Amino acid sequence: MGLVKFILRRVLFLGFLIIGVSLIVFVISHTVPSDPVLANLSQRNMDNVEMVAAYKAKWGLDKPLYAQYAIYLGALAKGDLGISIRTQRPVATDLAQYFPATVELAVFAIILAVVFGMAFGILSAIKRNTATDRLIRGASVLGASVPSFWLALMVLLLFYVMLGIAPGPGRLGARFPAPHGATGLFVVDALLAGDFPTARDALAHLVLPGLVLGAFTMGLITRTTRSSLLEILSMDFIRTARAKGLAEAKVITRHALGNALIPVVTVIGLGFGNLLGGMVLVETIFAWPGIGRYAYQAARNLDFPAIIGVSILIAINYVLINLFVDILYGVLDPRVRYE
Amino acid sequence: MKKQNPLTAATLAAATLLAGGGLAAAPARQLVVALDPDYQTFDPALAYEAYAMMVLHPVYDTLMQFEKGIDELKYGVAESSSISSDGLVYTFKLRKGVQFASGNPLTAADVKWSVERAINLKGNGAFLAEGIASVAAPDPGTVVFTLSGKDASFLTKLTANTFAVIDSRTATANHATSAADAPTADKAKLWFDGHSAGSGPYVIESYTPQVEVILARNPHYWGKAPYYDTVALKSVKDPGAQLMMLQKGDIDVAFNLGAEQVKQVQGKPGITVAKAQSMTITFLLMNRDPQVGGPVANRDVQKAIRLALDYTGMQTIAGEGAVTPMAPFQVGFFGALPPKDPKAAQNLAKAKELMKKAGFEKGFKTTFEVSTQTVEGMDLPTLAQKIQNDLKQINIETEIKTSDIMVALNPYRKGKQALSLWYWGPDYPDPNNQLAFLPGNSVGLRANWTAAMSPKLADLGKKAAVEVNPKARAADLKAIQEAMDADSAFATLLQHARHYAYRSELKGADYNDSYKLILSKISK
Repeated sequence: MGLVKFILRRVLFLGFLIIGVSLIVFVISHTVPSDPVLANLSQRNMDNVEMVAAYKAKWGLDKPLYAQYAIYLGALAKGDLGISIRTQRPVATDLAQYFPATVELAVFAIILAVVFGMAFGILSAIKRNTATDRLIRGASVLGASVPSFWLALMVLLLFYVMLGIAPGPGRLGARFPAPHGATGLFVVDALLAGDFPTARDALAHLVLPGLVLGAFTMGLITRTTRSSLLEILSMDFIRTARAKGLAEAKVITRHALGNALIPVVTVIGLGFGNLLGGMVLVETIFAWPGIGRYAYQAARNLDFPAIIGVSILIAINYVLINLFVDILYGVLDPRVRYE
Repeated sequence: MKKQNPLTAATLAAATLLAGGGLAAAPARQLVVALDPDYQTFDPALAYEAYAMMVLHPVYDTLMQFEKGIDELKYGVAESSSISSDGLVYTFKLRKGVQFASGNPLTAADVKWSVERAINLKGNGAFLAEGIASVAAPDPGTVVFTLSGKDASFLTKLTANTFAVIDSRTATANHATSAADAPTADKAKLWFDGHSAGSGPYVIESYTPQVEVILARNPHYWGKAPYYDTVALKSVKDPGAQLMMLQKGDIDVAFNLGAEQVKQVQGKPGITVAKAQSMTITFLLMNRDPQVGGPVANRDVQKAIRLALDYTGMQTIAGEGAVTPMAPFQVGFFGALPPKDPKAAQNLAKAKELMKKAGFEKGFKTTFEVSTQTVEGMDLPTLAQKIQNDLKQINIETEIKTSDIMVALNPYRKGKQALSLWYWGPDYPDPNNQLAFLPGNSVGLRANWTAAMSPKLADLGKKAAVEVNPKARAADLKAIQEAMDADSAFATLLQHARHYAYRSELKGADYNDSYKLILSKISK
């Protein structure tokens, strides 16, 4: 019951958060010293008073700001995110198109980050103060600090151009048509359609950008796992387990790791939320049509509905991920109560 | 049995995964072009972006079109035309037997419908139809345009996608309308984005925004069938990524290479580097209003600035192939004069004399505004720094103020910039476009250059705009360019080159500034 109430409170909080995010983003995007008319009309039409007036009337830009926001909020209450000024499609349609690309890449990246990050973190903790530990710690700092756009170009140059063992930019090979499925996740849609070559190609295309995007989070997970595990391994109950004659592998996996996971899960949650917000530079280099590029273009064009729509989506992501992480705390630590 | 080492197994799996990608069969003949597109829609009446025509030209016919370069205007779906003696009535006879991709016959009624829809929808390209008083279809094979005033560029304007001939029956069935209430009643835009209703050699098979457009062969096409069955236009923003994909053979054309990428691939076997003249120009705006421009508003100072600039250096920054036009009339347009000799165009001694004559021998300070934009691969702030150094030679100290283009456009439009760096791409491939730079016209007024300040030039511009006799028009344009070279609120700095590369076995991948590439003419 406590957990159910906890979840319901979070969901309720989500409603207020959406309003708050939409208001803040609306105010900020309207205070920039620019004019959405200039952003979206041609230079010639900017000089045409009638065209400008018609454009403003069409997008409600001739109304006072509070009226514009009220209209937007009214539509939002009905689940309508409005029409993108730039693409002239429903923002919900745009998000439904670009977000799956980001989800697919983010999931792949976080899986890589978690698997390798935790593995390296555990190894580093076990081999504390050895050459292995120093190597892993150095690599994790590098992963967390190297600029992602540089890393993206380097991995493409090395693995795609020079070695020829990885595919190039894009979600699919240049000569593959995009699968048109229900989820927008190319791997899943291709598998559901029984198109295994396309599924394999889509999966192969996830590797390099997934590695690049996962590098930062991987570095953080490695270091957090290491430090958290070292702290647990120094505790009395671990000494007791060892004194009882348990093999070291079992000491770590059965007793230490579970207790060390809570801070790691926090880092994973934050990292995943960050990935779901899109990374415009990496998306640009890998020609990945994700939410990062969409958000960047929306900002450049002062596309208010799209800007607010993306912001709300990212806010919802973070709330849901944090909710999941909080629930996971309860699973990992039975002492946690949801009150 | 010995267990396989997990690391080995994982490595093998990864290698299989990576190597396994790309094994599925591609369509029989597919052309793959990587580009950084700006198109937002493929509704011909609404599309206005530079790359939209690349997709729309092979899908929709127009009455007039370019066969190769933009100086070769030919008939498209029209086979002949006549102009009334007063220059106001244009009559076109349509080719016989032309069908749309749907199988419906293309008639004059479709032309009329398409033009009226474009006018009523009031998209960004609707201004091209401003001079059309009426369009009539007296019989299925004849279209008559009546203009409200003479327009020397009317035939060229008809090449634009705004005048694309749409299958009105198919479009209407998908909620398009040409009626006056089209802005609210027409609901076909989304349909047009993923489908087409044209008569060109290709149809739009699919469009995934930011990913790709796929064009497929139109089985009912009236003309010579294109070589490729399908064309895939892949959205790849990064020129470095485009180059890598071309080198690996994943694509056939990399369309957005900068000068640096071109150097890397120049001379490599199997790849042809193309350098073409883009119609994009970069220019310096010098405000003529002393309240805004201060010392910059002085005509002698403006002449001095033009003479102080190192055009050779600027062309180096822009990349090989860039030229400096005489005036803001691009080389390649009808009536354009040859470009300047960049070395001869700089004369520091004369510039200093003019500064002295203007009373600014010791120079002055001014703000220099520039947007953080990249034009044809060239960074505008970098060019601004070059100009800043050049102007120091004549004691003009500039404070460069950079801003995002969305911020910079406001003061630019309102004529509030003393000295600024801008670029211009023509709306349609005709010198009439460039008359906007003349005193009293839209761009001229952004420098507060009024018709009253240069009445002769202003009148010459009005004359050239409606002069339909080619010889007389060429003479007018020549006079305009010479006048602007001598005295103008603008310094035309560069006409950019366009760099792209393609696999050497391709033929017909020539540049056309309207269509970028004529996709239907590319073959092996």
